[in-house]
Amino acid sequence: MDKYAIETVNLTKEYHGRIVADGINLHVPKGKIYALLGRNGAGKTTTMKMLLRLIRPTDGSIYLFGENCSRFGKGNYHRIGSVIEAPAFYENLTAKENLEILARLRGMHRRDTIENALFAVHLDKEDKKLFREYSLGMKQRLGLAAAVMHEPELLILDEPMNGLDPIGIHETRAYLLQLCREKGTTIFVSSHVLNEVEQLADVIGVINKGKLLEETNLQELYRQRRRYAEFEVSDVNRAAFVLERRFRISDYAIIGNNILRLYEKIDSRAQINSGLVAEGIFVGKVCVESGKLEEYFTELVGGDTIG
Amino acid sequence: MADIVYCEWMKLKRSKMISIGVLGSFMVPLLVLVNDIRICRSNPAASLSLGWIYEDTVMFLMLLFGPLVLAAGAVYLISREYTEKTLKTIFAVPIGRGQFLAGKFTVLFILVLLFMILSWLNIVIMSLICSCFFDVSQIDLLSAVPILFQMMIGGILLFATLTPFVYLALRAKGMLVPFIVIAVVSLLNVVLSGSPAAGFYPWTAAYLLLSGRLEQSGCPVWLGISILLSVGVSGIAASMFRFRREDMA
Amino acid sequence: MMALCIFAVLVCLGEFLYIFRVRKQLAEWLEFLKSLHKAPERNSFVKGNGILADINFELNDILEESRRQFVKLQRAEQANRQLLTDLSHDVRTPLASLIGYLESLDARNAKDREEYVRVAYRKALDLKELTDMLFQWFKLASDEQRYEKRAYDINELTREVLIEHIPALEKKNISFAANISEEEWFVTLDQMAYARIINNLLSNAMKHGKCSRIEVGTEKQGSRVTVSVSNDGIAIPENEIPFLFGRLYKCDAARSGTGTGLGLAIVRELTDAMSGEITVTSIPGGKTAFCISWPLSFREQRAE
Repeated sequence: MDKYAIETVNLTKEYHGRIVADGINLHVPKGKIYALLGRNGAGKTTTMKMLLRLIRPTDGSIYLFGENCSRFGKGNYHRIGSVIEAPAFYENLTAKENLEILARLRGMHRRDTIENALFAVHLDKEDKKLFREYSLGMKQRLGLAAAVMHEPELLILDEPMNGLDPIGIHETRAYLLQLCREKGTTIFVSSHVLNEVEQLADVIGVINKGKLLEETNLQELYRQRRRYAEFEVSDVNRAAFVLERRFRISDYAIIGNNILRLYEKIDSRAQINSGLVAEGIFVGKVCVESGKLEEYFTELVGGDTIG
Repeated sequence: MADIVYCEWMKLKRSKMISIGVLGSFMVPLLVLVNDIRICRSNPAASLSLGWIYEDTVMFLMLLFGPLVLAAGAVYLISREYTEKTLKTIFAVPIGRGQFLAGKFTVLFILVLLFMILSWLNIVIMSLICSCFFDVSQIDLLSAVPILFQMMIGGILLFATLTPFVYLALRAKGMLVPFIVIAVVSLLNVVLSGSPAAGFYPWTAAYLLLSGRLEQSGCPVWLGISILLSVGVSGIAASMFRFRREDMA
Repeated sequence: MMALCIFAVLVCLGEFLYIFRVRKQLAEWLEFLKSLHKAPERNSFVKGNGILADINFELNDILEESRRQFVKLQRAEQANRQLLTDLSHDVRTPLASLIGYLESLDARNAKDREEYVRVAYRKALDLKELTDMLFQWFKLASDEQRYEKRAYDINELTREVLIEHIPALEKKNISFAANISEEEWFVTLDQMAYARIINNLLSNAMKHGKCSRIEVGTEKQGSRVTVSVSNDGIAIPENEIPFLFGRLYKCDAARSGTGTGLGLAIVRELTDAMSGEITVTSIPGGKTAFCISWPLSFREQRAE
């Protein structure tokens, strides 16, 4: 089985001489939630549209579930659900009728597909209302219902939290997390607000001016976000004792059999080193891991939008 | 394919376009009838007949109302997908672009035929009602059924002249530009209808062909038919070609 | 005769179309079944009604069942693997220093020895707390936890939980204020989970906040109830807030120490499971407040 649900190689889109997506190499791991973060106009929607074959890439290739997109048959798009930009449906129809059209065109995989989808987004009570009369939040929810009704393995959602109230955002987030956890659905969302997705995503990709700047695993980031000094010592127990008694250090962690990480008093590592040696502990090597990611992430978290 | 057509049909539910079409199919025979009755009143020599009402109605339908209402319908079928931005929803289903457009053309064809059948029904019904008050000849099945066939052929000819509007709607992505063009085309219809050029202008040629007056206008029948056919086919072909390569921005 | 012929032709045509559809569906199924090796997550789709659709729906149901099992297993396995890695770090560190102290027992004078034993004892207690926490987390992370959700009066429940903590607070010389409404506000919760949430928040404030005062309050806003636990201790830096509920989160040196980093992660998991929403505000020199809001359960309220 392939590791990535979406992989793109040098994906590029040019509109009238203007480059909107510039050599994007996306890696969306299977079964994870991936957030594409960027300002409005950074190229998020364009990228998503290329994935869905709504627009043609100028250059580059797309692999969906490990298969090249050009050979990826139409039938395989059953495995993808999507909402691009604002959800759009036929305005003179009700939610149910709209979903019926989609279900009829696609075919069904379950008898109660439509009812299930409407129930999941709490729209099952609104069967008289026409789409035209829907509020923005309801439209978003119907969009989500249409995207999940065929229980796809991959969800591509463009700004799914836009126009939702705090409760709606919370519900959507909880629903997406549940989908990912219980069904193993891969979810690819875009957003221009970090706060919306930081509690959701496993991986964050930052896109700016059509370029994918960075793809970061959030869990890795947790671990590596702080600056630390690493000591290789012969006796970790003794070293821990010395650190606590002599240097009054409590913020350290023991990683391996003889690796010790120091998170405080990093600058006095030379003294600590000689102190350890004086206590009869052999110190193999000392190195400092600068928390470069820390700054990067503070920058990211600092403002509401990304610069 | 049946599903696509059915879905297209569903999309028209509660749509204003349908009521406009139905209203149109009422208005034309009604106006013609009122006009014909007026003529009969002023000219005692003339007498009302189903054939006469039909001929007048079909002239208005083919020259003015058909291009106006049906072309507007054709444009609506396409541009609503753009203005309501539903293409991205539909294509994500997924459904092929060619299939989608074929569905649109099929529904347009069905709508044109339905419009014609409805107009025929209205002609017959109104003539029947009229016959209660005035003397109307030829009200029987034998004269009504051939009229239906003629109108169906008229519908097919009309459909051929409508396909360029579909292409136009695809290009413009909105309703305004196609509607202006529709207005201009209809105006030209009225202007050209008596002139010798009428046979070479596809929208009037359709009427002339139907009423069998194409040759009188100085245009050979084969030329008229081939002009009509090429207009219809090129409309479909251009739409298909355009739509398949288009970016859904 | 004529009519009969037409009828027969129509029937033949119908049968022909039906056979065509069945064959097409069979081919699609075969294709689908073949593709299952590569993509076991996918569903099969069918158009129309009738027996073909029914077969298709049954097929999907069976697949769905096995898929659910698969995802659950996969998740549990992943959680376990993660936990084992983390466990080695989490337990190793306090254990190493504990052993360090115990090893030093023989070399020093009597006064030091006494202190070492005391420190070692404290560390052993911390280690026990850590293992308890880990066990809780393990249950949560692998979805082993079962909840018994019922509508409770959240004010009454909060009071009950708080009473148990008053002795501990007095011992630490922390002043305490409760602004809990006298009304009855019903919220659908698991009692144990709620008690654990409040426990963790309180002990977190006591341990890491270095505070002198803790306030607990309940408040109703529209259709939601908010329970807040706030202290006047050291503020949490703003850029740390997003990580606060992450697994193994520990704030900077000044605040760390014996913490496990699990307390808040557990709070978050439990709050999510109870459909609550947790937010943190921290003003330097002011209050640090954890607020959890829940929707009121109207139905239960009426039934009372």
